[in-house]
Amino acid sequence: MTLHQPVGFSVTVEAIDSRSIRLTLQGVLDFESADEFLDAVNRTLDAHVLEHGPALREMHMNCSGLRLLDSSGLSALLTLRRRTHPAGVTLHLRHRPVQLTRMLALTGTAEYLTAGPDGTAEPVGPAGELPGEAESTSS
Amino acid sequence: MLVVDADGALIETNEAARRLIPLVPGDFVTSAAMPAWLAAADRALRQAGTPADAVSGEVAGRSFEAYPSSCDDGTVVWWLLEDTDRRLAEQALRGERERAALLAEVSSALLSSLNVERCMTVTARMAAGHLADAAIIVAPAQGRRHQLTYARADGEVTQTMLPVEPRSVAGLAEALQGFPPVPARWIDPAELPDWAVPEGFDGPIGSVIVTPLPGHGVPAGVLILLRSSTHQAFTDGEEVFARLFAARAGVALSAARLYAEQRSITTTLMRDLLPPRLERVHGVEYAGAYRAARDHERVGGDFYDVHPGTDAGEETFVVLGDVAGKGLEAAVLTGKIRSVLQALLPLSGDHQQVLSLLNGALLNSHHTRFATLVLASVTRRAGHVRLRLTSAGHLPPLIIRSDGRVEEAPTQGQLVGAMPAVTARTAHVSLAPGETCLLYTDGITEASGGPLGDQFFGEERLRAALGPCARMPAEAVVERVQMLAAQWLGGGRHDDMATLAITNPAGGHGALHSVDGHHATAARPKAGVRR
Repeated sequence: MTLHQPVGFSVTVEAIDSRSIRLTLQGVLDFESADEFLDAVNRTLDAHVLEHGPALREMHMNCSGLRLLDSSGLSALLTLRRRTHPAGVTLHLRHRPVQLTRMLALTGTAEYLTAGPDGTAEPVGPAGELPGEAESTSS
Repeated sequence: MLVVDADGALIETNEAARRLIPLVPGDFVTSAAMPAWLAAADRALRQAGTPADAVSGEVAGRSFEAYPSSCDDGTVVWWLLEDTDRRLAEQALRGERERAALLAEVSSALLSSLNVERCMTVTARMAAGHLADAAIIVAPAQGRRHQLTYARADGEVTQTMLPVEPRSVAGLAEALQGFPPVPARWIDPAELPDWAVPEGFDGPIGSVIVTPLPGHGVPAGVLILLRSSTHQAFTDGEEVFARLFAARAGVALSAARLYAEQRSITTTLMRDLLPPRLERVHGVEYAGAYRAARDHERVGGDFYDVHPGTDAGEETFVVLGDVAGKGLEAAVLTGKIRSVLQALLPLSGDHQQVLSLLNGALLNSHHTRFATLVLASVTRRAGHVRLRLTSAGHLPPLIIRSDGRVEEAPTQGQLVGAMPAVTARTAHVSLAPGETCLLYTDGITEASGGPLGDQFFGEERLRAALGPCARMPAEAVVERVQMLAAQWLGGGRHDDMATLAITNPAGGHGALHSVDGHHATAARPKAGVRR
């Protein structure tokens, strides 16, 4: 199900169960698309709460198709984290392209964004892969 | 109906014709009682010998059309048909069309300008040209004085500021408050004060109209129309039309006035948001350049400041940063950051503390609009410029060595305004004469363009472009970077772009204070790292 498909950006829900949501981000997350991204993800979270209550624990975002994330895009991720972290939901930014890895490193936001409920980020490689997960999609 | 025989003598007239033209059978068409246009038409018809078209003219102040029918014996029957009403209707229609055209002209002439002065000039000139012999616009009061715009029918327009007593002209006080105008016949032209008569206005005034210029909720002023006594007084129709004219002009004038007010407010607010002019401080050159994302704007999300140390021994505090977002909203946040940093100047010895306090001041429950910035504390000692550089989530400063190498300052930290706590690592860098430290925002490296039109300018190209900038003055480095980024962009879209260069001047005047022997060794600067 594609939630929104403006020119140059889209968020797609790949899988959903009571504990986790898997999203795929495609294109350019910037000044133009940041609000659309937040609207789409918030709608998905609202619907999840209605159906499953506060059971959600993980939100996985496949970032391999993310061509660019600018400061407004980063601001959108930080805003999303403000909602998910207090709700006990951990964000996972998977398959980070080089530009995203660099942006998160430069701004010192990677650990903060992906911190678990206890405040520690899970151990991931530089591109956001899980231990044992193939390092793959840096573009 | 009149019947005229071949000799031009009347044979017969009916009663309707007799009431109009007092002729009896036997009289000739050439007699004085016959309307000249009809006599001429009759003569022309006989000379031409062919059936003629209808002719028209006035008889006894009414309008008629006359249709001839010729008989074989030379007798002509003239049928007269009155068309007075149709003519009057046509005349009225023509008048209305002219007025509508004039109103359209008024609107297009006035709405093409948002300049208040020009709007008043055009309004007065058009009013004097089309409605009256002279026109005066009384603008709303500024204090006790009003701006007056005079126009004469010859097109001459003058403006002046005068104290005006609104009660000196009947209906003026009311019109200035936007009340409907008093009828022209209530205004005695002889009682008009001197200011209400334009210089060079000939002869006594015959009639006056005072009508408000209604604006958006508030009156935009008052239009006074004067007609000389040698002309016909204003008719009711003209008075109504003058109000229509004033309504159009009022809308244009108040739009211009609102625009002028907005512009003045924006200018006032922007004054504090504009990037400062930089200059040499305590032997160190500073130069900055800024280009907003939207070319018609002068402010945006990038900012920089240089706060000179109180004396040469004190550190000069420099900041360059970038707020997420664009336009005025972003600019307002840059204003806040700049104010907070200025207040934190006494603490600038500890960059980590400054960033923590700034982070706390920016944290906001509504949004996560963050900022990335670089702090630099600069002193010049013994010919060297010492820098403490701290990046808070920002692109690290680039150091241009005098031999053309370009290094990245080893500083890194977290952005401010989005996370509860931030940490940063400060780099210590020393600049020998001719060396520059360049702070810049990602608008430069993310300038999208190039030969294919969609490539970033990028850090590699920036570094390559900076090599030849060794030993250049700060101003030249900044200009070169902005120029290269602009060329790379072509006509493409871009984010705000800011650059700030801190340069230890090469030789010459900059080195006046450097009477040390370290020049040779100073080319190898110490770039220390401290947590």
